[in-house]
Amino acid sequence: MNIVILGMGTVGQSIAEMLTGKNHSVTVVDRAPDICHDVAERLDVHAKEGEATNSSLMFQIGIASADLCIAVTDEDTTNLIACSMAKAMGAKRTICRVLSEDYQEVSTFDCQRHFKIDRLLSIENLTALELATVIRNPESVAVENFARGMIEMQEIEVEADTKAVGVALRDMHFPPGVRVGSITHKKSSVVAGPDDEVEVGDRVTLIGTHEDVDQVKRLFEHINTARQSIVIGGGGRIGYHLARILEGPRNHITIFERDSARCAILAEQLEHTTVLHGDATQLRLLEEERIGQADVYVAAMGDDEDNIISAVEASELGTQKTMSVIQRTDYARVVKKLGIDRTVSPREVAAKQVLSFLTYGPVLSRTSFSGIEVIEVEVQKDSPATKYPLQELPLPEQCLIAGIMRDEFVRVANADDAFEAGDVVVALVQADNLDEATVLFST
Amino acid sequence: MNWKLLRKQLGIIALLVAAAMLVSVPWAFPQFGQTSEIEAEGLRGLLSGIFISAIIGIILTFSGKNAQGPIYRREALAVVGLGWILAGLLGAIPFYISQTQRAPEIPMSVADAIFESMSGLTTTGSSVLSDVEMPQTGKPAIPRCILFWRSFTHFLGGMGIVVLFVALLGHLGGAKLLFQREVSGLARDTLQPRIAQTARILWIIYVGLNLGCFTLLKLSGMTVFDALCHAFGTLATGGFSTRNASIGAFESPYIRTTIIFFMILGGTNYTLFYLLWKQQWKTVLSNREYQVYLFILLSCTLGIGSLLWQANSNNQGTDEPVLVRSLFHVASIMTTTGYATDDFNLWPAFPKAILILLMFVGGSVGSTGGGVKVLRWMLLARILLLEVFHAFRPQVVRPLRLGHQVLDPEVRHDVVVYIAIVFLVFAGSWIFFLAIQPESLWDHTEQSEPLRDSATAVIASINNIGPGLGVVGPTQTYGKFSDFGKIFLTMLMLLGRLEYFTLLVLFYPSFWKTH
Repeated sequence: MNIVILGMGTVGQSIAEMLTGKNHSVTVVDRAPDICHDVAERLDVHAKEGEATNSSLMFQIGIASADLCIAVTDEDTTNLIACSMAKAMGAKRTICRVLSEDYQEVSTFDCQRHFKIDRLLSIENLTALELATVIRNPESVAVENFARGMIEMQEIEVEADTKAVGVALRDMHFPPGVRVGSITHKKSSVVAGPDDEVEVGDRVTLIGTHEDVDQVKRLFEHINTARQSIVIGGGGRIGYHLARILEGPRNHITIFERDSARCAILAEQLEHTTVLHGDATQLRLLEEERIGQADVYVAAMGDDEDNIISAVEASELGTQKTMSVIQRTDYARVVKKLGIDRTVSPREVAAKQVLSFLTYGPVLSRTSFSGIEVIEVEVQKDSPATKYPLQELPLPEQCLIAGIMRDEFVRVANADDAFEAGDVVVALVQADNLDEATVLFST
Repeated sequence: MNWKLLRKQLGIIALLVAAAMLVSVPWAFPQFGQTSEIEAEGLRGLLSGIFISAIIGIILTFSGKNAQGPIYRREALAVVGLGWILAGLLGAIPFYISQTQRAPEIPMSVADAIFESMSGLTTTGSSVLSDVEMPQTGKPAIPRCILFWRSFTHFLGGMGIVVLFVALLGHLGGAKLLFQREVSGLARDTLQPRIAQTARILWIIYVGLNLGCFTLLKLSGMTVFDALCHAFGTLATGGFSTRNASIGAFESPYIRTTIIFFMILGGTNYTLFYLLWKQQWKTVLSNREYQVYLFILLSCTLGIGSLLWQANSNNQGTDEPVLVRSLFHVASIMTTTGYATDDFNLWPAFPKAILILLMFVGGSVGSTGGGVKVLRWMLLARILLLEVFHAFRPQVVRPLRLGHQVLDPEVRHDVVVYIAIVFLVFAGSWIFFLAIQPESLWDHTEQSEPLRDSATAVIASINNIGPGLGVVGPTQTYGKFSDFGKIFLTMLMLLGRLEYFTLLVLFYPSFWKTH
């Protein structure tokens, strides 16, 4: 694949490194000559010095024949403009990194649609989402988010003495916003049909909005609904997003932040979160605020060493579960030994997103999920899918349409839903039937 | 200080006052072409008032004809502060020249006239007049045109002279600064990008409400004259009446409900009316301050109502339901109007105490009501909670919120300072006022209690209410105080109307100095 990366910061470099490792042909652009030089020397890439939004430079590096253009400079506006230009000049797909949440807010203006960007990549938000998923669903085996994080897919293990055991799925009366995706019985997975039943020890995937999935989960497992107390060290972007995602009646959140100006902003934005002005690496403060009694501690400061120190301190003080954001992947192994329960690396999160996006045709992203492929497909103009409602669509066996995203609204698919060109469909399909399914959405 | 500009602006205000006096002239002729002896006196007073105001206005405007330069903060403060003082003085001329009698055979002194005029403009509604009509015959003891002027000052001052001035002549530079000095400190959000437009909308709403109130009062059986005067007194939250017994003179339950309804509207933030007009129901219904305003109003009504019922003080010669009486007075005191149907002086102590506290509450921000304003109390309560919390967890950062909206950190400081000033001014004035009144004034009857009465006189003045307790109770007047005492109370009224700072800066020597 021909891939162009604009901006060679730490994120850009780690993406370039990952992509060259997978034998893609990568061209990188950066403003700083020494960085270009360094990257060109270290990696098998074509490096070019210049501005990301310079059209003649873009033309020179062959943006017209690029399969993917990734804009990861440190300025949101540059990224947006560059992606928009790249798309107009012929790049097939674009990924745009954004820092500010303003551009992801779709209620007033859909920036992604306006600039014809295929994916807005908010690494901080995705990192926070990953941390939040672990906190929210400690029992779940795996959780994935689709459609800008608005649809969630969880894999859970069916426990004994739950309502779901031995009942056909069609008789369980789920709320309309939830589907059972797949059932894994003794290591073989099937996409769930209405007549299937689950047994104790099976794993099922649930797809739907966060709230609905949480509700339906109770049919399959015993959930501890006690209020959780969560402490976040560091109120940067990750800390902020994490608090925002977790805010709710079930969680009590406290954030430590060193910068008083940032504290004021956080306290303004996060109405139900306790914002503390202080350094989370200071033992005295952690003690005074009774970190030991917290259920979860998440270290999300900008500095790996600070994160490790404070997470270890929290764990020493008696916090039940400690997590940390770690930028440098080489720390990951050591950290496990220090008693930190979970680490999340923003770079890996970004890499995973980019990887799922290396697809052709209408498929926007593709993720493997215990033997089943979860794809996000964009419905093409005049494709077969636009001609029938969902119940008459000749879907292959073992294929489930989980969600439909039209404009900024996401919903779980119904039997009489019809597709329109431009809709993004989240589908589960057995790996063997993938091509058969994608054909339905392409011209 | 740009003196020329100041003179020019003050000149316009004087001309505005002259124009306002013209409106009262027709009332000197009850039947066309005829005028009684007493009306002639009134007409003489009004005409001299118009003449003097116009001359002063013309002189000031001319002397500031070539005024240049923009209005800065200082000029704005000076125009508003001095403008109100000037308007109060000019407004006093008709009272003085017409030889209006404050009590039988005692014509008003200069201090009386200034007191009456300023009390009207600041929408306080305290009066020195003991009889506005002959007690037995019901014939006018005071010329109708003067009585009309008295009520009309409420109308002028309710929405504000300077707001009117900006609405009419908004193209003048510095309109925004002027506007902000007169409008309540927390309601400075403008409805429209252009300040003149905002001022015009406010006046349109205000005039509209006055018309509505007038129509309903007329339909309930008042004469045109009474209906107009009482509409002015109600919506401006003033309190001047054309009857000795205030609203008590009107037995009709329709009149009383109309007055109650419009007093409550007068204490409402005018922005809400604008939003209603724009059909933004949700914003109006979710307004926290208004919810609290209505809550205080209703809970105090129930509280006082049940106390009165318990005390069985239903013996004031009315068979009106206790709750209606209670609602009337709670609304009247809380919105700082000051109308009365009962002599609440005769109530038991507890309901009277509630009324005294209500005097400090006041109406909503952005209303014509005076007082500290409901929003400031809500914010103070929250600020104190935050401060107590801060004492044991100082590291926690918590912004001041109103609903979901986060307020500027400055507001936190402003609210506390404001309320501190209110109480300092109250305490200082109380002592001072007691000191300047001759001991002989207090006749040591049951009705006179120097500490209580002087305190309520001061409270009723700084909060622009009108009646207090005891010798300044609803059936009493302020006429008995010394001239100096009256002038002092006049200053307090203006201080309260302009929310302290605008007037206080005028006493700061360095304010006037140009470096």
